[in-house]
Order: sequence, then C-alpha cells, then structure tokens
Amino acid sequence: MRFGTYNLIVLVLIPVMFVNTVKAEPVQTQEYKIKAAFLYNFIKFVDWPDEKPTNEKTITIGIIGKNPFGKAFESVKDKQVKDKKVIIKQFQSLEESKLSNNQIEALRRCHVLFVCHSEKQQIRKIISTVKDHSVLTIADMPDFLESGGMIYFLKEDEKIRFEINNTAAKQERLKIRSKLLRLAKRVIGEEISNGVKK
Amino acid sequence: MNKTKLQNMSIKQKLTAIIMLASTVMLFLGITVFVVWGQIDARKQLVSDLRNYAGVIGDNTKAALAFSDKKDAVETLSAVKAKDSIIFACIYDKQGDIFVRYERSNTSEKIQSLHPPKEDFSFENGHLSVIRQIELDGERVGIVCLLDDMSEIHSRLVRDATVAVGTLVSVLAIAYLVSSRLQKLISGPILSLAEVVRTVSEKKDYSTRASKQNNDEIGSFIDAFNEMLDQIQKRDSALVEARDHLETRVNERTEELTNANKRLKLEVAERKRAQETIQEWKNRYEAAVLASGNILYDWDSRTNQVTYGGDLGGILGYTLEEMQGGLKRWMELIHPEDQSYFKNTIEHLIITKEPAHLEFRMRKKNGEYIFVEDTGRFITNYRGETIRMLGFVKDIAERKRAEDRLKHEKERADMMAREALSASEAKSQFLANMSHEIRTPMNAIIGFSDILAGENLAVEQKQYVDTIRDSGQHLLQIINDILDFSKIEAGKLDTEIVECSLAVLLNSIESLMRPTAREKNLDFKVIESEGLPSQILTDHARLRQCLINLINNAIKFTANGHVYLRVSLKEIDKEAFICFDVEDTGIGISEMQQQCVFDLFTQIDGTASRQYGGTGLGLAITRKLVELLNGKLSVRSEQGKGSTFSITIPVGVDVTKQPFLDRYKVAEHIESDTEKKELPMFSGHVLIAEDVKTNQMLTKSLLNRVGLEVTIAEDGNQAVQKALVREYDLIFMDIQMPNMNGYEATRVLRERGITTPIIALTANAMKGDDKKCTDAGCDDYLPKPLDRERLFDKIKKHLVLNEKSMGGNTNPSESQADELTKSCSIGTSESSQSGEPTNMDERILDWDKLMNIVGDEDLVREIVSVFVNENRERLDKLTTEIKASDTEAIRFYAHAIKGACRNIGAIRIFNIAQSLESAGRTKDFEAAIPLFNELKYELERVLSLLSSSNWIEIAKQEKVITSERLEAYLACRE
Repeated sequence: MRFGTYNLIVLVLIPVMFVNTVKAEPVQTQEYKIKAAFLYNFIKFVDWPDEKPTNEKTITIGIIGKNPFGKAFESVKDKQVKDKKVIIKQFQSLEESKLSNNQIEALRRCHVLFVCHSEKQQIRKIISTVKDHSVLTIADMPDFLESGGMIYFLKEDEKIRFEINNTAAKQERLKIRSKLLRLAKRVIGEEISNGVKK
Repeated sequence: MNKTKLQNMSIKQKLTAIIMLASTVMLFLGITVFVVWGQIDARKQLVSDLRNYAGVIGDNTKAALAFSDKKDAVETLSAVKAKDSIIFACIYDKQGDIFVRYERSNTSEKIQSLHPPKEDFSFENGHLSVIRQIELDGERVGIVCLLDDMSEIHSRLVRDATVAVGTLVSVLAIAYLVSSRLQKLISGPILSLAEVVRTVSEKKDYSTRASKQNNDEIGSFIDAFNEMLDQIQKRDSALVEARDHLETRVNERTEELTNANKRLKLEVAERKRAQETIQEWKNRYEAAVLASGNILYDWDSRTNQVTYGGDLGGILGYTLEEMQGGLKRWMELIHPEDQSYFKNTIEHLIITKEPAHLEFRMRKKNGEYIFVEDTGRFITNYRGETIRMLGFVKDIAERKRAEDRLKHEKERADMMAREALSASEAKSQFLANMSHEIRTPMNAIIGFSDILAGENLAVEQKQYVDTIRDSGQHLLQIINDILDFSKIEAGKLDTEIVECSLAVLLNSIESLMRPTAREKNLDFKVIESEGLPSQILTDHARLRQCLINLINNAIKFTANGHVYLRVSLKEIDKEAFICFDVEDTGIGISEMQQQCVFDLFTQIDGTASRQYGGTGLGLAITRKLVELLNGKLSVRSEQGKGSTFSITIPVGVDVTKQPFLDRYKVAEHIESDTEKKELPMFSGHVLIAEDVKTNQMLTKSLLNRVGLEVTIAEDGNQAVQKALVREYDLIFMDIQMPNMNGYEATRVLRERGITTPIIALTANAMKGDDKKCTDAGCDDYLPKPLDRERLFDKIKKHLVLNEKSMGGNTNPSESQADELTKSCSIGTSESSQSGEPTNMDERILDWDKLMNIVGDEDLVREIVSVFVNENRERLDKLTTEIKASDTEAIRFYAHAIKGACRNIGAIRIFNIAQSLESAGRTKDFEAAIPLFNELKYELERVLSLLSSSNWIEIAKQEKVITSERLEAYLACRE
C-alpha cells in the first residue's frame, strides 16, 4: 500500500517536472546554452600560435556588446579547457562609448571573441581592432564571415550549426583542426573538404 | 581382467606397450597445449585489434560528438562495414544514450543494446564485445562499442585440430617401429638368465654359471646370482661338517645347565631364609610400634599416599581401609580450627626441612576430638626435594588435661598470691595506723612524765614518775622494735646507702652512750685502730641503730667493768670491711645460748628476762638490719666473763683514697651540741606556708623568738607567689593545704628555679612521707606536731648559724640521751609548770601553755580570736559534710580542728577530732556521727567561752580549764 503510493507520486511528479523545465526555459535560452558549450568546444579544436600573449593559466572568452547568453555559461563556468581555466570577459558595446586603451588591450588578449547582435554595425571595426592578435572571432550574424569573422553560428532544422572562414583564421595564424572543419556546414578556403561533405 | 592380461604379457610386449603409451601421451599433451595456446593468442590478438579499431572510430567521431553532428558520426561508423566479422557497432553520448548505431544487414541476430557494457571487453554467446571511451581534451564525450562474431577464431581452431590429429597418427606409427627393435636390448639377457636358472633347478647342479653380456644392472644381477651359487655350494659342505660336531656340544651344555640349577636352588633357599628374617623383624617392629601406642605414618609426597602403622585403631578407632585417601583423608580428620595451622606448618617445614613437631586435635571414629602430637621428619631425594614425611602421631589427650589442670592450679595460686599480697598490704597499713595511734599517747605519757620529774616532788612521787617514764620509754622502744621488725619482715624497710662520716657517727654514739654507762658506773670507750677511713658508704641511721642496740644491750647485761666499742679494718677476699666490736665484761652467754641468741623473742634465760626486761627483739632486729647493710653480726662470749658482738660491713669506699679518721676535728662541735642549754639565735627571713591560723601564729612566735623574720602564706598558691616575689632564706611548707598542697607548691617553685631550702611540715608521721617530700623537691622534712629542738636543728642545718646565742629557757631536766623520746609535741613538752595533772584528757584550755608558746598576752588574744572564727567556720562546714556523708571532707575538717585545738591545749577536743579524722580516713561513717556530735558539743562550749569578753581573766585565774570546770563556769554565767 505504501509502496504503491510512493510509486504513484513518482509517476505523477516526473511529467510535471519535465513540463516545468521545458516551459521555464525559452527557446532563446536553450539556444545560447548550446552556443556557450560550442564556444568551449571550439577552443579544443583550435590551436593558437605560440606568440599569442597570454596568461599561462587562463583562456579568455570575450563577449562584446549586449550579452545574450544570460546564465548560459553557468553550467560550464568551472570547466577547464586544455588544462587552463576559462574566463568569460564582458566588453561594452562599441556603439555606446569609446574603448579605453586598457580595454582595447584586454580585447586583444582574448582567445575567443563573441560579437553580439548589438555590434552589427561595428563588426569590421572590432575585427580590425583585434587584427594580428590571433583572436578567434565568432558571431551569429549572417555575413559575419564575409566581414572577416571566423566562425558563424546558424540554425538549420532547429539545430545549431556553424560555418568557418579558414582563410581568416589562417591569416591570424590560428590552426583549426580538420575534425572541426569537417563538421562545418561551409568552410571558406577549404573547398575540397566542403565539397566532400555536402 | 585387464590387469592380469597386462601382467601376463611377455617382457617384449610390455616394453613395446610402454614406449607406445609414453609417446602417445606426450604427443597428445604437446598438441593440446599448442592448440589451446593458439586459441588464447588469437583471442588476445582479436581483442587488441578490435580495441584499436574502436579507438580509431572514437577519435574520428570526437568532433561529431562535441558538436552533436550525427550525420558525420554515421558516416564514420559505416567504415566498419569493411570488416566482415563486426556484426554491430554503436556510439553512445556522454549520458550513455545511443548516439548512432550500425548493424550488419545479413546477420540473423537482433542486438538490443541500449546501454554500453561495463567491461572493456567480454566474450559472450560466442561474440566478443569491446568498448572504448571517447575523450576530448581529457573529458569523456562518449563511448564506442563493437561486437565481433569471432568467425576468424573458429576457423583457426578447425585448422589447428586437423593438423594435430594428422601429426599424432604419423608419429605413433614411427614409434612402434622403433620400439619393437630396441626392446631386444633389455629382454635378451634376462631371457638367457632365466634359461640358466631353469637348468640349475632341474639338474641341481650348483656348478653351472650364467654368462654376462653387459655391464648394466642386469650384468651385476648375473654376478650376484653366480656368487649366490658359490655360497650355496660352500654352505652344503659346512652343513655336513656341523652335523658331526653337534652331538658333543649338546652334551656339554646339558652339564652346564645342571650345575646352574644346583646353584639356583641354593640361592632360593638363602633368599627364603633372609625373607623369614625380614618378616620376623617386621613383626617385631610392628609389635613395637603398636606397643608404643603411637601411629606411625609414612607420607609419600609424590603419590600423596600415606602408609599407616602402629596403634591406629587404638588411638583414632579407624581401620586401615577407612584411612584410604592419602593426606586428604588425614586432613579431614583434623579439627577444623587446626586445619590451617597444620597445613601452614607442614608447607613451611617442607621448605625449611626442619623436623616437624605439631600438636592438634583429631576426630576419633566415635566423633570425639583428642589432642595428638605429631613428630616427623622430611626425607629428601638427591636433588634436595622433599619426597616423604615419616613420623609418629601420639595421643596426648592425657598430657593436655594435665597441662590444663596445671594452668588452672597456677591461676589459683596466682589468685591466692594476690590475695596474700593485699592482705599483707592491709597489714602494713594497719601497722602504720598503729604506729600513729600508739605513739601519740605514748609521747604524751613520756612527755608529761619528763615534765613532772622536773618538778619539786616528794621522794615517793619522784619514784612513781620515774617508773612511769621508764615504763613508757620501754613500751615505746618495744613498739618501735615491733614496727621495725614487721617492716623488715614485709621487706618495707629501705636502706639509704650514702657516704657518711665515721667521725660524726662515733662521736654521736659516744656522747649518747657515755651518760648511760656512767649511770651504771661502767667505763665506756670508743677505741679506733690505725688507718680507719674518714668516710664509709652505708646507711648511717641503721648502723647507728644497730650499734646503739648492741651497746645498750652490753650496758644492760654488765654490772661492773667496762663496755668498749672497738673499730677496726679487715680485709676479706680482697674487699675492705669495717668491724665494730662491742665488748663487755657482763654475764656472758653460754655456747649453747650463743646459737639462738639472734632468734626472735629469745633472751638468755627466764631469769634474765625478769631481771633485765626487753622483748627479745633487739638482737633479731639488729641482725636483720646488719644483713640489710650487706654485713654480718656475730658473737664471741664466755659465760661469766663477758661477750663481744661484732658487726662487719663493707666499707664501700676505696680506703686508700680516703683521708684517715680524725674524730677530734668534729668532736668539739658535738660536745657543744651536747652541752647546749640555750636557745640558738639566727638571722634571716623565713616564709611559712600554713593554712591553719593558730599554727601560723605558733610557728611564727617560735621563729621570732630565735631572731628570724617571718612571712605567712595562707596556702600553696600564695606561697608560690610570695616566694617568687622576693628571696627567702628558708621556707616551711605545710603539706596539707587548700588550693595547692605543699608537694605541688614545692614542685612549682623548683620548676621556677627557686633554690631556697624548703622544709616540709607534715602530720602524717609515716615512713615514706620523707621520700614523697624529697621527690617533690623539699630539702628536709619535719613531722607535726613540731618538736622545738628538731625544728631548731633543721633551721641550723639549712641556715647559717648566727654567732650570737641567747640564754635559753629550755628545760634543764631534759637529757640528751632521751632523743628517742623527744618526738613529743611542742604543746606537751612545753606543758604547764603548775596545773593539776588530773584529768589531762579533759583539758579544754591551758593558759600557761599558751603563754609559754606565744609569749605575750596580746598575741594570745589575737590567736584565740582567729581560733574562734576559724573553728566556727570549720564546724559549720563539718556539719554540712556530715549531712552530705562526704568522709574525705570530714577527715579534712577534723584534721584542721584537731591541729587548732592542740595548739590552745584543748586536749579533749583534740582527741575527739583525732578519732573523727581516722573515722573519716577509714570511711567509717557510722562511727563518725557520734564523734561529730561530741565534738560539736565540746567545741561549741569552748568557742562560747573564748568569745566572751572576760575569758582571759577566767583563764588566768583557772590556768587549766577542764570540761567539767567549763560546764560549771558556763552554768554560773547563765
């Protein structure tokens, strides 16, 4: 009798919890959670040149503009990548104010720079700012690759995919591994691989 | 069946079979190992291959998993198609859910694998499954799982088995051929030997020999066989020879046996005799032990067995069977109270190995307990361990009873001795009381006789008085003798051995005895020999007493001629003795009488007794005293010519170191003493501790007369205070005082460092009082009532004598020889010159006496007023104590009243008070009441007289007031 009651409660509760979770997380949040995980995973498949001035123990992900991630990084916050601690750094939108030299230096020290929607007009400026500092630039805006960005997130059949501008990466002496390249929907500057894939 | 078949095979067949079997087994084992090893190896290889393969797949799907790209993963996974044996492949994501899967289309099996297997690889149902973790940057992102149908391994097994069987068959064929050839090498020689043996046994020909072919084991076997044949041949010939000798040897042995038999018989007979002797001794011994009435025991400590002998039944009543059970049984019979004693003693003795001697109680068969004595010894082995205890147990019940009786008797005897002792003490006390009670009236008799003798009396009256005085003195002497003697008998006479001057002793004896001798017109001399020491160590008082006794005796029994005291030194056994010989020219003693002259109550004869008087105690006492002084008393005499009594005592000092005796150096002093007719004069300040007012005044007036300044202390406390405040030249200390008695006061003063001479005054004229006084710290001691001469003597002794002297008013009739009688009280010796001697006891006041002592009327007035007040008070107190029946308090007040009354000459009251005092002392309350009533009556009357204003006129007129006269006077006053 007691056992039965217990089971009953469990059976009733499970769907309720499930529904709640789904309802509690909007599609937008879910999407950025995946993107945050992707940002971490990119680091694993990209090799920075030895000259990249960096703190030995940390890898910095910069986010410039109006941050859409919210609490998306919470789940990956304490993870280490390549035996290094990952630090998330928020930068102010370039539209709102001019960056100080210190801020520019900080931007350039980033390993990864995610450019938010709010910087749509500033993309080129941002890319030129970090040019020659081996910063892996990522955004989820179309034409980002064409503007000189390196990785572009897109959605296909409700799945998050990405495209890579390997040429831009090579220019910044970043080496993107073939395993990653193979997974990209489109790779600029790697026609053969792309061809095989699609 | 098989076994017998195998056994019956020929050696040839056996050898072939052995070789074949061995080859088959070896080969089979070898091939099996080869095949199994091949299989294990193949499996290992397969696992390794598959894991590598899974690794490659995992590596290639790493990115796909990271970015959840299933398409790419499926593409990679489909590469396993190239390997036919893989029938299933699957990739799980990091949650363990299937990410992508591949399944070979032609397989009939359905594989349902929702979760990855746990083990890295496992063989299951003829399949091998392998998993491999997929890691990205150290983080697990998924798992690859591959399933192989192991078809390669199975086909390899079939191939290997085929090869093995073929090899086996061909090898066996070769082995058969080889073995059938080689077996001949071994079987050949054996078969030929068998042939030889058969020949020997059939023909009995031991000379045949086998031929040797090889030098192996069979070769040496053939050698041994041939040697055996040799020995058989030799044994055959020896046997024939031995058969011939056998008969003679049998004969010899038979003879030897007969001799041995004879010897044995002799030995048996001898042993039997010895046993009989032993038995005889044993019987004798048992009988002896039995007769001794003891139990013999022998305890073996190793087996704990006890063997008993002797009169077990007689003493304890048990049979030997009942005593089974070793020491434990023995212990059971011991009295429970004695068991631990027995056990502890035995345990102790086992260690010390001393002989045992115990006494304890044992229960007889009839339940009664008897005392037994156990005497035993321990026997030790060569290591010194106790192994046996052997001894006797004796019934000592009778002895114990005797001991008990003896103990009882001893207790009774002790009790009787104690009783006797207390009886003796009672007797001594009685004698002491007697001394006091008898001496007091005696002193009165003698004292008054002396006074009377000094009066102008008619010749007839003078004779009467002399007779009274002589009789009194005689009686006193007898009493003193009896008391001395009983003290000697009771061992109560102490001697005080001190160094004393021989000159003083001889001078005093000479001056004492000369007048007595002169009275009888006898010549008395002290004759000393040369070289006498000036000091000797003895009790001079006792020695003096002895010498006076002897000289008195000599004078008594000598009608004319002389009495000499010869003093000389003698050496006996290298010890110096001093010899006093009293030589007379008296009646002498016959030889027969000499033998009993020192016995008690003996005088020379009845005639002498009547003629010379005496108790017969004198010589007996003298001898006892001399013995007390470690000396000897002897006599030499010739009847009619005189006797010589000799006292020989040890000198006690080293004569050579003593100055010689010079009697005349001190003689002058003695002479002046003897010629003394005047009061001495002293100067100094004296403290008198005395609670009784009249006594204070008396003593004070006496001392004032001889020039001494006097301070009075009322009791012991005051005496101490006063003596501490200023220094006195002499202290008189009454013993019986309130608050603090004399002993205590003296002790306190001595403790405080006061060295002033203290003379104790005590009314208890007992021997031993002086000891108490000196113990307390007093220098000297005077009995009460005070004797004036003795008082002055003591003062002289302890004070520096003043040069001046004053014409005395002492009674010239007093003879120096009467020293013994001088213990009369001041009162009696200073008695009235006039007065009627009738009814002396009835006196209640004596004016002249008072005046004589006190010396002036005012002082008398004062003393009497104190007397009245004090005694009123005392009488009141005494009345109270009578009501309270406190005999001790009664005694105290009676004593006080007695003393006071004596001083005013109230002899009647004095006597009553004295009786009351002794009643109080003996706690005789019955007797006290009538005495008290009488005392009260008399005392009240006296007090009433003395409180009247004109009592002095009456006293002056009457001089002596008796009870009768007082009655008349009081009646007339009313």
